[in-house]
Order: sequence, then C-alpha cells, then structure tokens
Amino acid sequence: MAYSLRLRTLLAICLWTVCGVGTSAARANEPVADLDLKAAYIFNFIQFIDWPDSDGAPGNDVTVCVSAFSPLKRALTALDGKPATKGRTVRVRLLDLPAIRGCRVLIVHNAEVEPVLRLLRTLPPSHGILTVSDEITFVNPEIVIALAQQEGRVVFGISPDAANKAGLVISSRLLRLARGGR
Amino acid sequence: MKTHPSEAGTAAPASPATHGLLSSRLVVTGILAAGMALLTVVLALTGVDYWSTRASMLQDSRVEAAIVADNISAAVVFRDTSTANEMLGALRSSSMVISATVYDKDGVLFAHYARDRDPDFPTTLRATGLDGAAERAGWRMLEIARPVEASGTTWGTLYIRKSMAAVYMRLGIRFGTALLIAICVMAMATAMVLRSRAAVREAENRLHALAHTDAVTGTGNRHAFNERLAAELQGARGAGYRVALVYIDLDNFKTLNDTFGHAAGDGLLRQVARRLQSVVRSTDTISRLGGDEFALILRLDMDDAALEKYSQRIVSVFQAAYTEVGQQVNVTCSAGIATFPDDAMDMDALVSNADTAMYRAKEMGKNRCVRFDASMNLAVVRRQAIEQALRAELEQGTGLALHYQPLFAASDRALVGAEALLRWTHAELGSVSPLEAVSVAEDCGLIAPLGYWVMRTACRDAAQWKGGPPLRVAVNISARQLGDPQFLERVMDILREEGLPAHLLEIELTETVLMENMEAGAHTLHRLSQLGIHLAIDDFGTGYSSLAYLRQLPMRRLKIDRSFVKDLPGQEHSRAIVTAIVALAHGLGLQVTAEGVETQEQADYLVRQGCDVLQGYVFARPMPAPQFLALQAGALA
Repeated sequence: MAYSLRLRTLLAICLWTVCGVGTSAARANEPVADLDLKAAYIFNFIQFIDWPDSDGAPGNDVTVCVSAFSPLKRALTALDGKPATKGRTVRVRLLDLPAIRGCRVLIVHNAEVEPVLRLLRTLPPSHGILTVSDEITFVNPEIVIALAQQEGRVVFGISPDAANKAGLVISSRLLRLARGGR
Repeated sequence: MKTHPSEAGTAAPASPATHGLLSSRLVVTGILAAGMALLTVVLALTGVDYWSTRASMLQDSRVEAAIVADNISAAVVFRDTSTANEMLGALRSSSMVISATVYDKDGVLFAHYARDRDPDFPTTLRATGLDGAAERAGWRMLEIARPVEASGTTWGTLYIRKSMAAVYMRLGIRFGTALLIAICVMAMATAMVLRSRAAVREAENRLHALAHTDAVTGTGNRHAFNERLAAELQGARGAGYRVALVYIDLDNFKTLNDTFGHAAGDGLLRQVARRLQSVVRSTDTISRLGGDEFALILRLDMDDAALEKYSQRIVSVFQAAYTEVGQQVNVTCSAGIATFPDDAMDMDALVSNADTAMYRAKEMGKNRCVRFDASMNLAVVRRQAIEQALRAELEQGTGLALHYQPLFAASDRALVGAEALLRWTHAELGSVSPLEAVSVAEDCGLIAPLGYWVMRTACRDAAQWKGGPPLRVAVNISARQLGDPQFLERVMDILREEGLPAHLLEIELTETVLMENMEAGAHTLHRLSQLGIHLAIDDFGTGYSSLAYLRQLPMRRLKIDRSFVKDLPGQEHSRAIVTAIVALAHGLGLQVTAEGVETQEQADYLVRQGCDVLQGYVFARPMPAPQFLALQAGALA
C-alpha cells in the first residue's frame, strides 16, 4: 500500500513536471507521509470549526473541494466518505470554481489563489467557506488557514479576520495551536 | 484565713483539709473532663473538615481535569507536544498538582508536566494502575484520569497527580488553631473556676471560723471543742500520749450576771478567756462551752505533780479581782480534771468525768480544782440510786421518818419543844444521812416535796403532843421552799389539815437560805410571822451574819451554831462569840438557843451566859416520835 501510494505520488510528480505548473524541488520532494499528515490535519480542522447554520448545506456532508493542482489532492481523496463531527460525512471533490458555493472547505493551491479569492470576494459575507492554503511562503490574509512545513513538522496559521469574514467560528483550542504572526 | 484555736495544734483536724483536697481534686477532674470533651470536638471537627476538604478537592480536581482535557484536546489531536506541555504547565498555578501527563490513544506518554521532580511518574497509561477508573483518592495523593476528547472521539487520556500535603497542611493549621482556641478557652474557664473556687473556699473558711468561734470570747465554741477533743484523742491513741481535759465553771456567775447585767457578764467572760489564754501553753486549747463553762484541752506531757501545779495556776487566774463596768468583782472558779487514757477511754466518758470532777469541786466548796477519781463515779451512781429511792419514798414509801430532838428551857430544864430531824433507812441503801438525802433532793428538784413532807409529818406529830404545856416543833426549810410562791398557802393548809395551832410551829432558816431569797422571802416571812408562826435563824454566825436582816425580818430566835458551842467553855474566842451573840439577840429582843450541847460544863456556861433554850446530846438525843411522846408523858408525870 505504501509502495503504491509512493508510486502514485511519483506519477503525480511526473504529471506536474510535465504540466510545468509551478513545481519546485522542495515541493516535488515532499514525502507522501507529510501529505497524509496534512490531509489528516485538514480533516481534524473540521472537528474544531463551526460553520454558520444559516448556510444551507446539502445534507450532512462536509464538502472538501481540493484544487486540482494541490499535492494533497490524492491524500484527501482517501478521506472521502469518512464520518466527521456531528454525524456529518466528509466528501472530497475537485475544485470547480463556478460551483464554489457548495464547498465547505477549500484547499487552495498557489496557482489558483487569485481567481479563487476574487470569486470569494464576490460572495456575500459569512459565506461559510473555509479556505486552506498549503504553502506558508504565500502569505495572504484572506486565506483562513495556512499549512506549512517547519523544522520537519507540519504547522498551521490561522487568520481570525478571514475566519470572521467567512462567518466561521474557530475553536479557541485550535487557535491556541496556530502559529501566530503570519 | 484567720487562725483558729481549734486548728492551732499540729494534729490537724481532719475535715477542712480533706474537704479542700477532695473538692480541688473534683475541680481538676471537671477541668480535665471538659478539656477532653473539647479535644474530642476539635478532633471530630477536624475529621469532618478532612472529609469535606477531600471531597471538595476531588470535585475541584474533576473540574480542573475536565477543563485541561478539553483545552488540550486540539493539541493532542494535532499531536502538538510542545503546546500540550505548555498547557499542562499552566497547572503550576495549582500548587497541589505534583505532575500531569497526557497519554495518547495507545497509552503512550505524549506530554508531561512535573512541579518539581516526579521521578516515579508512570510513563504509560497502564502504569498508572487506574485500569479505566476515573480517580483514585489515596492518603498521600489524589489521582485523576480524564479522557481527552474532540468531537466525540477519544484521542488520549489526561492523568493528574495531586499531593494531599496541602490538605494536611491546611488541616494541621485548622487543627492547631482550633486547639489553640480550645486551650485559651480552657485556660479562661479554668481561671474562672479557680477564682470562684477561691471565693467559695474563702466563704467556707469564714463559715467554718464562724461555726467554731464563740462570739463573746473569741475562743472556740462547743462545736470546735468537740472536734478538737476528738482529734486530740485520735492523735493520742495513735501516738500514745495523754490528754487532760479541764472543765472550768465560774462560781456564782449567774448572780454576777443578774447584778451587773449581761454586757458586764460578757465582758467578764472575755477577761476570763484572756487570762486563761495567758496561762495555758500555745498547744493547749481553750473553748467556751456556753454560759460560764470553759474547757481546756491539754496535751499531757507532764507528770501528775506538774499537772497539779498547772491546775493550781489555772485556778489562781481568778485570784486577782476583775474590773468590769468600773466595779471590782471577785470571781472564782471550780475546775475538774480528767485524763485520757487514765480516767476514761473515750471522749464521752472523758467529758463526763471532767464534769463530775468539776461538780465535786463545787460540792467541796468551790474555788478549787479537783482531779477526777474513779470513786466519784461511784458517788454519782450512789446519788442516782438515792434519787430514785427518794422519789419512790415520797410517793408511797415508809422508809422516811422524823426524829425529834427535845429542847429544854435553860432556866428550869423543862421540855419546851423539839426540832424535827429527817431520818431515812432504805432497804438497799441502808441508812442515808439527811445531809446526803437533802443534797440529792436539792439537785434533782425533790427538795420541795421532801420539805413539805417533813413539815406535814412534823405538824401531824406535834398535834399529838397534848396534855401538858404547849410544845413547839421546829422545822428546817430550804431556799427552794422559801422561793415557792405557794409556800405560805401550803404551810397554812398543812397547819389547818393537821390541826396544829400556828404558834406551835417554828420555822428554821439558815442565813444562806435567807440571802438567796431576800426579796420574795421577806414578804413571805412577814406574813408567816403575822399568822403566828415563829421564825428562827439556824446556824447563826457561820454565814453572812448580816445584822440588817435581823432588824428587818420578824425573827424570834437565833440558834448558835454547834461549832461555837463545841469549844466551850475552854476556848476564849468561842466564849467571846457566844457572849456577843447572846447579847446581840437579847438586845434585839430575840431568844437564843444553843445547839450541840454535849457536856454539862457547856450547859452550865451557856446558862450563865443567858441562853434561853438548850439542845444537845447531854440532855437527849433525837428520838422517834413514839419515844418522844413517851418522854413527854414522863415529863408530865
């Protein structure tokens, strides 16, 4: 299983290389275990975040929309169908910009940041979309959670302003863990 | 406390000391009991405090653990050890927490906090030994385990160890404080109890002193005397020494009291007490038993000769005159001494014997001190026998009789009358002397009945003496009789009933009888005289020999005492006295009778001196009534 996963990662890297989309040596060398860990982080974030109730979400699902360019795409897909907090189920699908309102969690990749943010700005406040970026080097206060790698550990930062704007209530316990001052 | 005579000696009287010891032991016991009760309360309160503190600590710890577990959940979820450690570190504000540990899902140590150093903290969840229990409350520490949950999933376990030291410290402080308060309260209570005890004891001592002190003289009273004597006798029995008891009675104190008043009497008693104090030793005790009676208790460490001297010293106290209300007063005393264990083996007998000896001193003429003698008790027994016999005789007896001693006229030796004299022969007691019988009768109140019996019998007999010149019968009466308000009536009744003319009765009184009844007697004597009864003074010259009453009272006759006649005609003094008495009597218009004429020379001398009537063995002895009747018949013949 680990082998096949690594194989798949290799394939993906090959694909990204072929596509020539913003690849870097560091990123390309990111171990699969870290990606899984990040995916687990994202899943765990769901446990500590409350979405605005008014926001009519279809069914009991938490839809995680992942950018097609995100290296986490594959690791997240493995979480599809996993039961999340409050009896909800995690659904993972690829990001489709026009259908962005159906997303609860949005994994943004550097390549897509600008259009996504532009689109989000057009939405009314408290739209209830949790934006997660996978690159700490890209600092953008409009993204709620920023995942990063630091000293071999996965860390994350949270932008309370962005969370407020999106109408999300983030548990203080989670905030406590976040790296401040981004 | 005021030193009390009864406590002056070394043989401490038992009661107050024992009583004090007992009551103080009671107080100590009471205080101890109260202290124990207070200590028990403090301990019980501490116990309750311990359990409640422990329970509330457990409750607080649960809440604390819940908060920490909740807060730390995200850190566990995201496996942020440093944040978790940091969060556990927040427990340092809770001083009781020894260590706190978070184990992950698999029970492996994830995060840890220790206050100082907790080397034996469990590195795995299993090592805590809680086995899924939420808490374990031991004596030394408290352990709490709490699952760390996030969104319904258990991510690990929080384990907190708390030290009970702080609880014990707090308990200790509270216990110490309570104990301190209890001790303070006890000390205050003890002080108050002791103070009130002291007040009570003082009052008791004062009461004791009051109960044992004679108010007049300040010496011990009868109560103190009894206690002291009992203590002395007990000591004497134990240590084998002797004790002497001296009873002192002031002679004629009643007369003094009546004459000068009670205040003067009390003053006199005080002076007597002071003088007695000055002659006795410090170990001897003086008590006033009441009235004019004093008692001395002497620790007897001297021989009989010394005791004799000692008793003389006591009697001599009274030799000097007392000055009271500006008057010189002479007081004498009669004292009786009895010793323990020689004269008596117990207290009652000792007191009784001392009393007997004192009465003997009075009988012997007062103003003296008499040692008790076993024969005195025999005398007492005899007196009691005499008293009973006399009582019986007066009711229905035949043992009492009157003998008559004829009286003769000095001029022609003609029979002119007779003096009635009491004779008593008892079946058991034998012949009882009239002196003894009268003495007993006077003591036991039989003198009046006896006197009236004599008078009635004499009158009855005298009524028989008929046929010749009228014979007068002479009867002696006692002071008690003369003081009887009914005396006059009784005499007149007897004369009427026995049919004797009043002028044939002569009543003889001694000077003493007269002096003791001066007021009431004078009136009675005048009445008797007016009724025709002759009055004579018996034993003239031995008593007061007051000339005043001779002038005032309606006397008909003086009887010269036999003691003056006895030495006639040889002794010059007696001759002079007899001459003087005769001259005096004749000068006052009184007749003179001489008693106890035993020789013819005496009779001749008395006749020459001018005596009117003679009485004595030389003429005739006292004889029974029938014999006297025969004598009278012979004289007539």
